[in-house]
Amino acid sequence: MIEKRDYFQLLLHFLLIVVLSLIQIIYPIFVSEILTVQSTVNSVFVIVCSLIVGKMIVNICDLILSGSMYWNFFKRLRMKLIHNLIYMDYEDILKRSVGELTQTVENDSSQVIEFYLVFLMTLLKDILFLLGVVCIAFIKSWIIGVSLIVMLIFLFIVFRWINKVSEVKWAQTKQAYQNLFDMFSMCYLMMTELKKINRESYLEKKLNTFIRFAFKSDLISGFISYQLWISTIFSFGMIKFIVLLIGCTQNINLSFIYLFVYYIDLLDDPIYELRTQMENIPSAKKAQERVFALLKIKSKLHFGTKLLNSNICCIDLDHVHFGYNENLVLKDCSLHFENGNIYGLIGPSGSGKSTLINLIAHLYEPQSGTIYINNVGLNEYKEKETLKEIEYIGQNEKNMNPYEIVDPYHRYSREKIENDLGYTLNDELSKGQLQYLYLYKALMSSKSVIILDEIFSYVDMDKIKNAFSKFKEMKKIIIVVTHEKEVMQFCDSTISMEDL
Amino acid sequence: MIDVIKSSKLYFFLDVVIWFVAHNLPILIGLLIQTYFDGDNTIFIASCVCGLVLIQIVCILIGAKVDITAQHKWANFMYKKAYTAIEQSEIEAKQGEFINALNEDVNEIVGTISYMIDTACNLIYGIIVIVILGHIDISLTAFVTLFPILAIGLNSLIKKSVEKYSIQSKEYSNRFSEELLNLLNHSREIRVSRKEDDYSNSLDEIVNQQKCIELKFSVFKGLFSTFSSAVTDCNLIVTIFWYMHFKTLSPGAYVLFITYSFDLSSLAIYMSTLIVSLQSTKVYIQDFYKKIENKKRNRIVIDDPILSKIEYNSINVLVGKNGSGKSMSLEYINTQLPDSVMLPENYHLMDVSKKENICLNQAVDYDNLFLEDILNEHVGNDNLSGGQQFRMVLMRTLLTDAKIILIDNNFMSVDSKLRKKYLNI
Repeated sequence: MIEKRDYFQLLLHFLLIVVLSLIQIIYPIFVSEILTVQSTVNSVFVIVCSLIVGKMIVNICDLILSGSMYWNFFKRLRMKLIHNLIYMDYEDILKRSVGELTQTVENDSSQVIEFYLVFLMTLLKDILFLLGVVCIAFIKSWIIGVSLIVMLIFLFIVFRWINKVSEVKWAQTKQAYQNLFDMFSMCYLMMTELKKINRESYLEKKLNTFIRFAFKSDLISGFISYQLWISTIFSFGMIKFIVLLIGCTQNINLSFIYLFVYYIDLLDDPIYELRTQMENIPSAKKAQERVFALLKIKSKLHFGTKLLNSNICCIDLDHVHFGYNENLVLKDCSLHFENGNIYGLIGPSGSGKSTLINLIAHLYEPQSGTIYINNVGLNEYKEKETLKEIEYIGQNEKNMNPYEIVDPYHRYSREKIENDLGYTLNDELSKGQLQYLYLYKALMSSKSVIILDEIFSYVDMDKIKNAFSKFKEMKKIIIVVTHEKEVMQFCDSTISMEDL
Repeated sequence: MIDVIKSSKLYFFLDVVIWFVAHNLPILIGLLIQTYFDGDNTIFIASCVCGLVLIQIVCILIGAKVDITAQHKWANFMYKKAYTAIEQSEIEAKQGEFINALNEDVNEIVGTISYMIDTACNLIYGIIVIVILGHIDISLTAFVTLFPILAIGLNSLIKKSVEKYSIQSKEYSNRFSEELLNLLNHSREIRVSRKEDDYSNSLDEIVNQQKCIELKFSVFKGLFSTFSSAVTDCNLIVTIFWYMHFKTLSPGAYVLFITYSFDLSSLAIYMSTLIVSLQSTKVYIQDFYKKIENKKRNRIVIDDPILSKIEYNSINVLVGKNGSGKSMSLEYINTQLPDSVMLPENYHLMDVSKKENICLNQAVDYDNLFLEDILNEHVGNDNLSGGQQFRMVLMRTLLTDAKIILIDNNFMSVDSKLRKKYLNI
């Protein structure tokens, strides 16, 4: 993922940061010297001015550079994650929840990049600056140097400790909010139906508990950022106190005391940056794990090199076993499908109708046994090759507009379709009219295997009858999944999944 | 935003008071340091500084609790608003958009209110600082104040562009979420109908455009924050020049001017950020209220005296062609008769136990006869088949003690044996 150009950009970014830190360390020396020297030396003034202007220019260059790096990485990582999601095995998708996957692609990916590009660079900048300050302290007074180091170590330990404690709490809060939003999703989905049975109070009560719980855990984890802030104020206040104390007990130049007061004021911003970044470390760690886990998933399906040059005329299942985990759904299943026939698949819910279809479409692979298409094993074909001839029509595409359902590739004109259907494709279609679109799509298909997965609800019987008489004329393999006895009678043979 | 604040006035007030104290303590610290560098470098002054820091810490400790609780009160108000909206009727926004609004918008809006309070306290701090500095050297103070005001003015100039960018970036992130959700919800169809490349292309396109917008936006924002921080440096240069050239300032005053001008420029940054974030919060508020807008639905009016045709204690069947208005009639009956319940065409289950899904935490018992094949553990929409889901939902509907049960479903996904048994209940 990282290209040569990126290394160059990173190096440049690093150099700019070093220059910036150097300027940051040097110019306060002049500012504080003016306090006691009382000179009108113009050269000092010129030096301060040029340093400050230089700082600004370097700042702007670095800003543009780091911005472009950040968004480039962001783009590449997102694209990679999406490609993985698109080309991942269907089984792997089923194993994960939609919420988790969207979370990984949308939030986790940017968090990971933020960590590497922003957090680590801020850390570097601050460490360089701190090192400079400590060096200067030791040159002038070892007491200030030592107390500075002690304070920094204290701050480091406190930050580490807070982070360690907070890790669990952040995770809890995140989970609590995730649950809350899941609950809101359920409210969104179920409100209408529960109102129809006068049970909407259930949702309200449930939602209130989730809100309360989310707030309770947020109160604890939200306090963490304040703890970090307080420890910063405390340690900086203490350093200031020590510096001032040294100023009045030992015989040290006042301009030197002021230099440190100034440094401490300067430190405020970088430490603030660091602190806010640090709050994200625990979640960044988790985010990184999830992103890498998603990137690592590889397809477990096998493919060959054979091409499918003709229509599919027969599909055979030869002693196929398949199951999720230890649970066998298909046990020693042998079936034969031939063109010119309509097959009805029946069986109670969960008996493996969808699984059978997924196996034929090569979304799954059987645990043992083989599936043959035109007498060639399914995994000898090239990837996606057999799908060229398989039309699967199911009714899950809820959010699509009617025209998209019928003709996603805009192969026919809208007028022709509306003419065939006898009604216009607008948003006010009834359920039956909408449902018929799927059947119409099946009729228009040019592929040689057509799978109809429970698309008959709400469609008038004479329309179904009409469609089936047309199906019979075609030389195709048609597989119908349904519960309707009336639909079954149009099939040439029925396969009961219970008997398999 | 005002009605959000109004929802918890007490906490708003508390929040303002506590941060007012916490933010203004550094003024005293600055004055102490001035006297220190003017020659009064005693242990007493040093320990006063130390004491003030400790007081500030205590203030922040209290302020933290108050601030978080206040944010919760406001967020709760908005959550309730969203809930009432879905309770009223269906919502125009899609599910993903709705959740996104609750997640991002609420956070943003509540955060801005809290930030507003911070900024207001800092502004008072700034005014006090200017008064103190004016007392020492009025003309230098004029210069020192001029730069932060310039920075604020510059920042408010770019308000419009920021708004434009933030709307655009929001648009892309919405489009991305929607497309991603589509991709995941239709993963099976996509794979079978080989639409992978289409999806990959369209998502790539969105990500590409998103990157361009966000890059421009971030550089744009970055440039202006650089300009704002340049204010400190300008003030520094002016103060040094003044100190060296006119020699009217005491060393303590010199230190005070530099310290305070630090604070003034951080005030400028605060103000500019507030202006920008108020602008984008406006977008978020509009977005939030748009997302919880209810669908406008035509009232159903049916001429047919369907209500009088219903017979109690029997099964009434409504038949009709596709598009003849069967569902509409059922909806109509449901709205007209208070003792009716309805099982609509689309139904869902919660991701909780079987019992809770059916009884919905009411003290009732259900008949397990037709539900024996369903485990008692968590049953979500994902791990039950269509028929199992329908049976659960049907049982849920039957448990209500309504006289009329309307079922807008033709028992398609229930096998025939069970179907018979059900109709006998």
